[in-house]
Amino acid sequence: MEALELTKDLLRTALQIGDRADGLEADSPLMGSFPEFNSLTIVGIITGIEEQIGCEVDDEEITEEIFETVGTLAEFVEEKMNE
Amino acid sequence: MEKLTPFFLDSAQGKIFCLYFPPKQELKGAILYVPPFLEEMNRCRSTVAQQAKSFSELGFACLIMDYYGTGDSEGLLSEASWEVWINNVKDAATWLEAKTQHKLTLWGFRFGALMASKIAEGEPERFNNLLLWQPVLDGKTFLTQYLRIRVAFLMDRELPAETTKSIRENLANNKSVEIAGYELFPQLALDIDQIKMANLKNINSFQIDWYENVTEEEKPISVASKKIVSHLTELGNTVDVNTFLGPPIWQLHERDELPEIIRLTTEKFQGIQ
Repeated sequence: MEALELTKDLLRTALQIGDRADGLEADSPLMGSFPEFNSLTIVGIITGIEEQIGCEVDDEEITEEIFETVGTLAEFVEEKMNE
Repeated sequence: MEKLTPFFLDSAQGKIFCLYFPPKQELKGAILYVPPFLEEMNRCRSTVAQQAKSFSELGFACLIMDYYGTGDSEGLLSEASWEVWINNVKDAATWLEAKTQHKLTLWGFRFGALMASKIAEGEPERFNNLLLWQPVLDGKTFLTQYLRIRVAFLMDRELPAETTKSIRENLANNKSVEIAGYELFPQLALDIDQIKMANLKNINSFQIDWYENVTEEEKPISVASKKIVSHLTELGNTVDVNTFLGPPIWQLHERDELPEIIRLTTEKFQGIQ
């Protein structure tokens, strides 16, 4: 699966936004824009990345920058896919 | 006909809360629920109650319990440990065995699945079936994911950053940490850190029904789960792997339901005579 699609899928699940996830674009803002976006969302997304890709995410990699937009998160997902 | 009965059971340290679902037809078997960890337990409560009701309608006696220091049980989380919780499950098992005169199926959900498999390993003669829902495979990985809630919380509030490593160091120095409204105590955390399904040895000839969440139909279970399933199979157990679709209710802030896992599990138990 392409990184952006996987990212939308992870957001759909973690934010419980259903079909609204289909409307997300790479430049859609994340942290601070979704009332649903909280610390549990971050944990859910990181766990999802580890389980879906079969990789490990270090604490040091979990930064605010990767949760800025859908695109920044997708870039991170892509990096993990290519590791 | 016997009714749904809430009661307190004397157990290690103090009384634990139990909810008994009596069989609604001729008794076919008995199932003991082993719950997830802290808030995950609360998030799963409604789905678990629905499943317990389905079991009772099929003729299974089902007992649901809260660990000591959690839910409606007595005590404080600070007094809980892995050992205390293991004893809670065993005490509940003794009650259900006496009530039904049946060998029990241990039904573990998330962290409860890890606990149920350890209990089964300790007393292989006593139990012969495991029903595992979205099992936690490795205590250390699980704890890391749990500690991350604090890491993410601090980041979200722009508070001084911590890492799971620094939190573990605090725990090792006997300092408790607050995570998502729960005070996590060093002993419990250090205990959980040590438990791995990959280390199970003395467990064989079990029928293990494994249910795992996937995001798309036909998708296989995770790579990590596959390894554990092979390990359990090599030990001589029969593992029936099933996948289900739906929201990961154990990790979601908003309550949600999992009708799919109930449907699949109920169908499976319908076939048991």
